[in-house]
Formats: sequence, C-alpha cells, structure tokens
Amino acid sequence: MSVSGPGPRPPKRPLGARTPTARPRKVAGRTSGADDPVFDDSAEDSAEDVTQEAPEPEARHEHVEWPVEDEQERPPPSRRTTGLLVALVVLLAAVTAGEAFYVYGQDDPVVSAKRPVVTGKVAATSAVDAAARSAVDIVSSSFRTYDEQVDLAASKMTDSFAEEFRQTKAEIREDFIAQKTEVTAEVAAQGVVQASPEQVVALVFLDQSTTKAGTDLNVAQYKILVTVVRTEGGWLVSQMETI
Amino acid sequence: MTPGRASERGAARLPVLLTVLVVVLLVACGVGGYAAFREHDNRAAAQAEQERYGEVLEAARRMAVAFVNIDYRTPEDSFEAVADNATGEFLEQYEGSSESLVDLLTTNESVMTGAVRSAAVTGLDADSATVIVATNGSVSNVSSNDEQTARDFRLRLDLLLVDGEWRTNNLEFVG
Repeated sequence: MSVSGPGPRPPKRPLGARTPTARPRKVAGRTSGADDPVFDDSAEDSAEDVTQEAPEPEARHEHVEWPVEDEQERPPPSRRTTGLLVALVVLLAAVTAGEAFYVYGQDDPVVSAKRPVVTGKVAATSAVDAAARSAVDIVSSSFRTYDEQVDLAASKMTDSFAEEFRQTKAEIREDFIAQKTEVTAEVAAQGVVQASPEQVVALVFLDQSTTKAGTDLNVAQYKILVTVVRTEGGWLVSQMETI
Repeated sequence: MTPGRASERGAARLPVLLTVLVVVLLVACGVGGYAAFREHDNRAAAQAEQERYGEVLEAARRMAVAFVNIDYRTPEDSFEAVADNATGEFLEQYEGSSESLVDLLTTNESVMTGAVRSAAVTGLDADSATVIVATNGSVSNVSSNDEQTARDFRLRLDLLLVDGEWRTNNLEFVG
C-alpha cells in the first residue's frame, strides 16, 4: 500500500496508452486480474500518478456509456484502492469492536470496603425493603397459625435456607404451641451494608415482642444481618445472622 | 468464459462492497463512540455515588468506635476522638457536656470498650447521610467491681459533608 509504488518504473509508456479504449482490450478474456502484470501496471498507474488522475473520471464515464456486454468486461478497480478499503474496514471494525467492548464487555465493579454498593440506589433500597419485610415474616410466629406462618416465611427464602428453617421450626413446634407463644416483630431501622446486582446484605434493627401463656410481654431488640439474593421470584433471603 | 467473467464482475464489485462496508462501519463507529462516551460519563457518576457509600460508612464507623471507647484514665483522648468526627449541634452538645461527663467517668472509674459489628446506610445524598451502626462491647466501673458487662448498641448517626469530610451532626440510640 505504499504511495510511491514501484518507483523505478520507466515512464516509457506514453499517456495515450491509457486511453479508455485501450483498457478493456488489455484485460479482455482474463480469468484472474490480480496476478496479471499488465493489470498490475495499469492499476498502479491510475492510483499513484497524480498527473493521470484528471482523465480518469472521464474514462469511467465513458465506460458507463458502453454497451452492457462491454461493461461486464470493465477492468477490476485498482488493487491499491481495494487494499485501502480493506485497511479502512479492518481499522473501523477494530475501533467499533473496542467501543463495543468498552460498553458491554467489561466486568461489573465488585463490592469492596471502598465501594460497598455497586448497584443503583433504587435497586439497593428495594432489596433492603424486601430483606426487612421478609425478616419480619420469618421472625413472626403464632401458636394459632404456626404452620401457615412457617409456609409464609419459607416462601421468602431460598430453597436451602427454607429447608434449614423448616427443620428448626419442626423441632420447636410442639413446645411453641403448648406454651401458646406469639411473636411479633417490628422494624426499628434498616440499611444497606453492601449491594451488588445479585446479592444485597441489609442490617435490620428488629424489635421483637414475645408473649407466652402465663408470662409478661417480653420485648427484645435485635440486630440482624439479612442477606437476600436475586431470583426469578424476586429477592429471597439466603441467610440471617443475629449480631 | 462465463466463470472468468463472473469472477471479474466479482472483482469489480469488491470495492463497492468494501465502500458500503466502510460506510456501515463508520456509522457503527460513530454510534459506538457516542455510546462509549455516554457510558464513560454514567460509570464515572455511578462510581462517585457508590464510593460515597464507602465514605459515609467509614466515617460513621470511626465515630461509633470513638463513641463506644471511653477510658476514665484518658478522658481527654476519648472526647477528642469523638469531637474530631463531629460537627454542628452534636459537637456543641458534646463539648458543652464533656466536663460533667469527665467527672462522672473519673468518679465511677468507667471503662467502656467496643467495636463496630456492622454499619449500614439508610439514606444518602450528595452532602448528607444517615447510617445505622451495630456495636458490640462491654463496660466496667466501680459499681460493677471492675467486672465487664456486655454493652451492645444500636446507633443512628446523621452525617454531613463538611469541607470534604463526613462528620456526625447527630447521634442517637435506636431504642
């Protein structure tokens, strides 16, 4: 693709050799133009030689006016032009690919102490809301509606956490009902500890009121870390830790 | 001659195809450049907002640690640590009551130690934030015969961005 081309080529050929009528004749009947030295020569002429550029459009114009049969034998355009176009295509494709990679190809930022939240504020807030509401449902229980409450709570959890939860609830069921226990809970405060598009950790301050037959109301203040994960069914609790 | 002509026609069409491709790619390049430019701006804004979470949490943790670590043997240090992270009304209140608090500490030989167990952002703006903090710790004094009593707190802190620093202007217990 060098602009100077084959420099030492002698200018023996007169300008008249490049008349429009001469060109089709030169290449007529060729099966492949690329390797043809004659084609090469004239091709380079047309691209490199500024003094010969002027007649070029006229020459092309004449081609258009030729009969259809002749036009089919129009010489393939310059190799140099083709090469330039290929290079442009490659360059532009590379730039476009680079842009696409910048927009789509990069990894999402990771949760860190410096950047504990890597989602939008709205997404994080709604996940924390879900975590706090689920925590209330999970903690609440009543001897009257024990099994329904367990089902409701389990519906807010991931499968593995629900399995664990049901096991615990089954173990304490008898005593809980026998003591006519009732537990209600209220959120005192909630906030986001860390958040990614897939997983959010919420800190929930929960006030839990417990009544049992024959005892006074017992109110306890809890600090709970609630982890929720994104699923098709919304944010589900995968872990709860009282701290 | 037909195959020869066909390939010739193909060769003649190649630059046209390439030119079309160049034009298409130019458009794609332009659109991509605009998208990349927009994306760059969005990412910078998101990063600034998201790092603000880290900044307010760090400031709130620092304040909470100062608040739950008080030693009657070095009361000034304890109070200074709190004052360094405070601003506005809270700073005034704290400084106003510090003398009587020091007396109380010294008389009771109080030592409170604690650490932040977790901190979370409940609200955040460009220059104000609310953070809740859970601390675990213990307290000992003369009346407890130097025995450690567990003392966990649920704190809510309001913070303001003052001269580039997040400072607490209100601190309360979440009862």
